[in-house]
Amino acid sequence: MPPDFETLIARYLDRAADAAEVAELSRLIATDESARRLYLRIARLHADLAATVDVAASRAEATATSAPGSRAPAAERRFGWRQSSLAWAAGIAVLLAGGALVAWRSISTRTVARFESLHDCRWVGAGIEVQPGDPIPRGQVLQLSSGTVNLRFASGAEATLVGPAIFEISSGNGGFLTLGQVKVNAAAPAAKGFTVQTRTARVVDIGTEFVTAASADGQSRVDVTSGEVVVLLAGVRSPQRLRTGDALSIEAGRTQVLVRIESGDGTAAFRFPTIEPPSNRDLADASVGLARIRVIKGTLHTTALIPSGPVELLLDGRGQSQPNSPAESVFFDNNASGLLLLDLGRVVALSKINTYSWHQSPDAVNRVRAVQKFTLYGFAGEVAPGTEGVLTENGWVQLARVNSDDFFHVMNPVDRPAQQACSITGALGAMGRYRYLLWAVEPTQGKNPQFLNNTFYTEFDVYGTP
Amino acid sequence: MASPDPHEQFMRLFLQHEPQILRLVLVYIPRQADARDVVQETAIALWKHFSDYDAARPFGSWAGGFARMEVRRFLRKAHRQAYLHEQAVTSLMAIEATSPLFDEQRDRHLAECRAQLPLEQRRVLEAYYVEEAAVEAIAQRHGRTIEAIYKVLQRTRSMLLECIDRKMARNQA
Repeated sequence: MPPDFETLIARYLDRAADAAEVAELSRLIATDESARRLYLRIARLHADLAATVDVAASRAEATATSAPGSRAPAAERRFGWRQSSLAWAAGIAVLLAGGALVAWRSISTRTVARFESLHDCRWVGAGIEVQPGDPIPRGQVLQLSSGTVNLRFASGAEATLVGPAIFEISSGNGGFLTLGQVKVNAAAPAAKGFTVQTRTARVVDIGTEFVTAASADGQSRVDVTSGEVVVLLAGVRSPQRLRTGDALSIEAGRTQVLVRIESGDGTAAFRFPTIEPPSNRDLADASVGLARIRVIKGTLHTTALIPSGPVELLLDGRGQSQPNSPAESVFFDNNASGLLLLDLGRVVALSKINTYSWHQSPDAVNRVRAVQKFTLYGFAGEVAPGTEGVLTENGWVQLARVNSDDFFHVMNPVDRPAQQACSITGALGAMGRYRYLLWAVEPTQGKNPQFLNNTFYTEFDVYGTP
Repeated sequence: MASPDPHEQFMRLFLQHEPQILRLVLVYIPRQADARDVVQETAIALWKHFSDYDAARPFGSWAGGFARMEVRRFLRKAHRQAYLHEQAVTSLMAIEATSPLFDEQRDRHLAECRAQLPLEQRRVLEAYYVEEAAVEAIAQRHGRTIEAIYKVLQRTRSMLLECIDRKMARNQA
């Protein structure tokens, strides 16, 4: 090892090394075991210092800020400060043994919100006590394992955080949701413009009430309970406007796939607020003659009483003529999952995929057959990959996940819209080029064996440019 | 009894182990913003494969495997000249994967050693690691040159390692 090897390591760790120095360091590490061990010794300390903050300094800061959630014995507390990165990890506390609830992204003493009420709260980390009225400074990250917390922001906005959730209070009128669900009531005049940022979207309130949810893998969802919100997506100029009853989900990833679900007018005209009715002018329509659809897993329900129509109905350009029309619908056996494979016959730059369902039982006690619940995959090659095991490991690209019960906040079966349309689009235009589309269809939530619990799909429409 | 919600189960496990994962990544990718991006990618990979996780195995070592894969993926995509080359990373991982990065006793010693540092070194360390201030800004704040601040950081880390070694040796005595 050269005598200045430690300096070389330090320059690398401190990002001061140039390309030649990095190459030399790499060569020494690759060829000399003692160099490897010395590097790991120093790099490990660098990692410790970067990932943790010493207790004494943290304790002093916590005392100065009278922070909520800091009532655990001081010796048990450790806080981590994080930079203003919006990445997942930025919102996660540095939790060591007996870790703490709160991570401070920035050193701030300014109170921008307060805890209003807490219900059955379990926090991540032991020994945490939070009381109604406790102040919340800017930058505090709340990590709720379970339960519900009501917050009041300086703007007057009220937010309900439902655990499990990670939510950073980034200002007096907004926050960053890494995980979980937050319901916002921004009726107060000063709360107009309340913003919830997620990894994939920025949701700005211009009305009164909405719910934002973020999942562990980056998918975000917005439901507007009343009023209006604007959803801004990275790199997309025109915002998505959502009004009362509208919902939108955004998949993580470069193409930012959007899923919008709407409730129809309950007539054979299949009219929806913004999604067009079933069409015979799409690329997958039978009249075009290129697309083929087939069931490749599971079986359609074919009992004599209520037989499903043939799968080709999904490409016939029409919806059902009445609310309960099995012969005009396509549905799997009760409680069965299934796979539907659509071959477009050529590679297409996809811009939009619409799916439609309609079912209303005459006695209106269940509408589980209108719910749409599926995951959509795509593949661009000549031959469709296998469907055994994990689909993505076979080469399928996951495009979107749909569960319309989530969108409509269904609590009781009759709350479900009887006629539903789902529109999957790319926020930046095309979603990618694909020849095959694969719907992994799931049964819906109905458990009563009296009722079939698979969706009565009526039409799949695919739009794009060959 | 209802089975635990996998989402909640994952979140608890991930939050509990996130500091270990971040430390592991920082060993190879010292730039904190990049390291956190890799931890984020690791979280996504872990969540995607969480159904395969065998709860009888330690989550930390299972997650460590994914973190190393994400480190390699990042380094392949990253500006190669700025980061250790693949062969070096492979040889480091062969050692690192067999020695735990998380050691409570060592952490306690580190905290004690930090508290014993001279005030200026402690401030430079805090500014660099806690505030994540740029070296240029720290230099300006302390009226020193940029090179001098790099030297302070290097010297301070050496002092901390020696201090930790002394304390560990005393424990073993």
